[in-house]
Amino acid sequence: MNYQYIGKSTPVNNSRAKASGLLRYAGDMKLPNMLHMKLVLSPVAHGIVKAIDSSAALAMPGVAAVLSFENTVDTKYNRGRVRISEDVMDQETLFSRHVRFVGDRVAAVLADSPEIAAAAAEAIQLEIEELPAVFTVEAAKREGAPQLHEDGNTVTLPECGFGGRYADVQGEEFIHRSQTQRVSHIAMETHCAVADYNPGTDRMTVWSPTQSTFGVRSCVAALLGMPMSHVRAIKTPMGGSFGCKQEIILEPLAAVGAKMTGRPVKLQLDRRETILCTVLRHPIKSEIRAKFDKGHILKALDLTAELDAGGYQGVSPDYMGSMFKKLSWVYGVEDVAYHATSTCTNTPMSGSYRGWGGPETAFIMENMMNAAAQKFRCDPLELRLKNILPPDAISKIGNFPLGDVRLEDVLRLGSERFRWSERRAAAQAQDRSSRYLKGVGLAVSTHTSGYYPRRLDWCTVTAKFEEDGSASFNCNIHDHGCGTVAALKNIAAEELSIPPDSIDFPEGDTAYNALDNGCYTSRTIYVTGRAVLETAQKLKSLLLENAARLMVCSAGDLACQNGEIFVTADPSRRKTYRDVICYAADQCGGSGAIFVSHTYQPSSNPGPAAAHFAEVEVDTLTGLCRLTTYTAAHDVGKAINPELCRGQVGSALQQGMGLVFCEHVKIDPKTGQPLNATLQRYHVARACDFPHIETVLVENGSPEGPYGAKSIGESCFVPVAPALLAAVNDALQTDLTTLPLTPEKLIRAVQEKRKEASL
Amino acid sequence: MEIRFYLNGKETVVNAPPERLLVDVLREDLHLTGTKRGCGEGECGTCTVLLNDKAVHSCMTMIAQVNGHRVITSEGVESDPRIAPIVPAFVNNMAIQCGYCTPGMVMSAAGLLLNNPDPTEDEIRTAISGNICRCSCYEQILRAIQQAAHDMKEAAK
Repeated sequence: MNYQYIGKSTPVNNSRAKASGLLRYAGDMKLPNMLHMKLVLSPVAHGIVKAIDSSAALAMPGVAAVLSFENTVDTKYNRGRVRISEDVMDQETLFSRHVRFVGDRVAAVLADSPEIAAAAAEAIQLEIEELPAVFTVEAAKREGAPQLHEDGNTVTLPECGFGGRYADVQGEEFIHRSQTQRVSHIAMETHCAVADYNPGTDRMTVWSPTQSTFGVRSCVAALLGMPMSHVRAIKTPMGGSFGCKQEIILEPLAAVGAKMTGRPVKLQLDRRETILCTVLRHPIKSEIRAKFDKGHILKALDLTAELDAGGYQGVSPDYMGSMFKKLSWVYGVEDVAYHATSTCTNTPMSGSYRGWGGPETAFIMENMMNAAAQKFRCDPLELRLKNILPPDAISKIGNFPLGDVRLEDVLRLGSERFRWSERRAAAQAQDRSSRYLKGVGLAVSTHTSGYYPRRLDWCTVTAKFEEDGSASFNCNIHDHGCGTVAALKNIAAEELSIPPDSIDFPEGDTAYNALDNGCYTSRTIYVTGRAVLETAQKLKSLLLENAARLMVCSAGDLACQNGEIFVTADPSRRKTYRDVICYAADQCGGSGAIFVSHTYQPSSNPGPAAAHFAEVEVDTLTGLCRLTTYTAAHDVGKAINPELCRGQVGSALQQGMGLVFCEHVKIDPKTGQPLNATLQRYHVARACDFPHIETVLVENGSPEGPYGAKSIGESCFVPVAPALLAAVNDALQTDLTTLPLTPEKLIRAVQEKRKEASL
Repeated sequence: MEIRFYLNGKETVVNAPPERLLVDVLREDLHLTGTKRGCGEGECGTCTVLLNDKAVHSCMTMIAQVNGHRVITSEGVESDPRIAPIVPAFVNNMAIQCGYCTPGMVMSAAGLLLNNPDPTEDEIRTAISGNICRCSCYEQILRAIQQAAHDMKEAAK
């Protein structure tokens, strides 16, 4: 198929404005008479705030107010609730009297400048009665452990699975344990929200880089006791999310400040605050028991996962459920049992991170598969090929069709491009006593392309032609910075045959959008993209109907190209879009405005299969690892914008490298104090750490996605960590499963291995 | 204290305490918000600007240090013919996603290319290793800087 705009690599929207510093993010906003908010965070891990002395702060010139639990609502809420009907646990309050971790919000200062607000926040005196604290799941589960909440520390997921015969399944049992650590998303834009309240009209406007403007609106309206229609949430350009801006954290704080003072309020966190008091990736300990038959076919699984939720449950109970749903998407196992708990500890809150359980489950499963291959002395690629599901398989969990998920294609194509067999053989043949050891690893995975059938999914789009032939589209989208607006513009441009630049496509704004679930679960291209495509088709039909009246022919005789409509049989008979739109508006025979509204509901959710292949070189002397080659094969259905797909994969690799090798928010095990909540001490992979990576896109289409497209943004993160870990284990002939693989840990592993060999 | 300096080619006067940080003067006092504050400790590179054609962290630079000197921010790149090709090179090589690191990344590229017009791949990787881009693994950015180096040499001919 020859497309004009689809499949072409075009820059993300506002690229030039971004490069020249002219795009305004929330933190760049300045409203007249605006106040700056600075949070006062708990300095202790667990305690009761007995008194707050804000007299010195309030006496400082330029300080407008001090907010705390003493003068704000104490309604409990859940930061993950998008729709008011969602049944989730309410534990969090705007400010805490009972503080549950270092970084819990106690109070906030509002002042004329950020400097005054910071100085005043320092001047606030807290009297806190400390309580015994727990910093690990193990400690929090012990009998007699200090309780963080009235309803206890731990939420246990009702046992779930299928088959139910694990004990009876015949086969060799294999037990494997994995452990991941607390990491920060490190989106370059730290969290920010701006709120403006007009007491005369009782209208609140909140601007923030959120993934759900409707979630923000619901949360603010509920906490401030305002009608939802009086609260308007507007999505600002987002300097990266990766899940950290999906939860509603700062918006209600800025809003309550604005309502209390009647002045606009900006709250932007610094990096330390962003690490400590927003959201981190869950530390998870897991044990998986698997049974394989003699032919190495996986027959049964029994997985236990323990999530550390941090100070409040937040989204963690849902998160452990989401991990379960992602257990039966890759391998055709007949019997699965899943046990999970989410436990509160006196540590920063855990929550949404790119992939929402998918990468966590894949880490456990793929580590197990790689270790099993090592134990069976078979090629991990062969073990995968024997066990993966075929296209159009049915997920045993949720009983829904996985669609045209091409696990075999990505494994075969990726391994070929990576030269898997050759590299693996070279690694096996290397001299084990040398200082530098190479290893290869792989992982295979899939993910979602929307909510279906977990919950009702839909998307409403309105679109109109302006009189000059340019077009405006409107729906509740939230570009995370990965270019979804550009992709959606290309879809609309393709259908309307006008340049993408002539289309305006503003992002989420509750005043102008129909209710929507927000941009989660990798649904934007598959669900919103299809909705935009169908809306553009409807808009074009209306244009053609009017053109047929103007040109005295039937709409079926007409075609559109580059802003013109012509009679197919006689292309010299033509009108511009502008002619037709003006005719429609000006003449009695026309339809008036060329405007449509359309709601689309998906009826499928095909898996975007991925297989990643890594080669690393470990320096056994220093414990440092170098990534030497990386190949990612992705079944995207159709790449709407191929270079943006590659960008996503690059970003996923970077975050996976951090997770495996260096990223770790460390908490003092005795005091709960954060040890490295700054970028000087929290390390991420840098430009000098990467080789050129290869991304192979498999484009066989899917029946329902726009032009056949499936998702990419989260699916690319799912297999990274297990592939990298497997490469290190292959290099060192180890079975390391606790992240991160620090140099110390690797040196120790090498020494143990060599000691074993010399015995 | 009165500070005089050349900002994006224009003589600029500000009154500020000498220890006030350049990033705050740019963002708060002069409303040039292209320069971002991502960490406040010189680790992430989002606040990078040129000081006498060298890339520096404006979150680690006091305003007194720029007195009498030349500062270029991302807003001044397109109007400086020596480095103007960097912006289209970033756009056309799709080296921009969320865009939050981009102004700083562009300034690090400018600092490199003004001092080393023909950098090797390793030199480029080193020059931008102080700038974190969380949306990529630097592949597109690397290509953009190579393209900019080429275009700047062509423009200088």
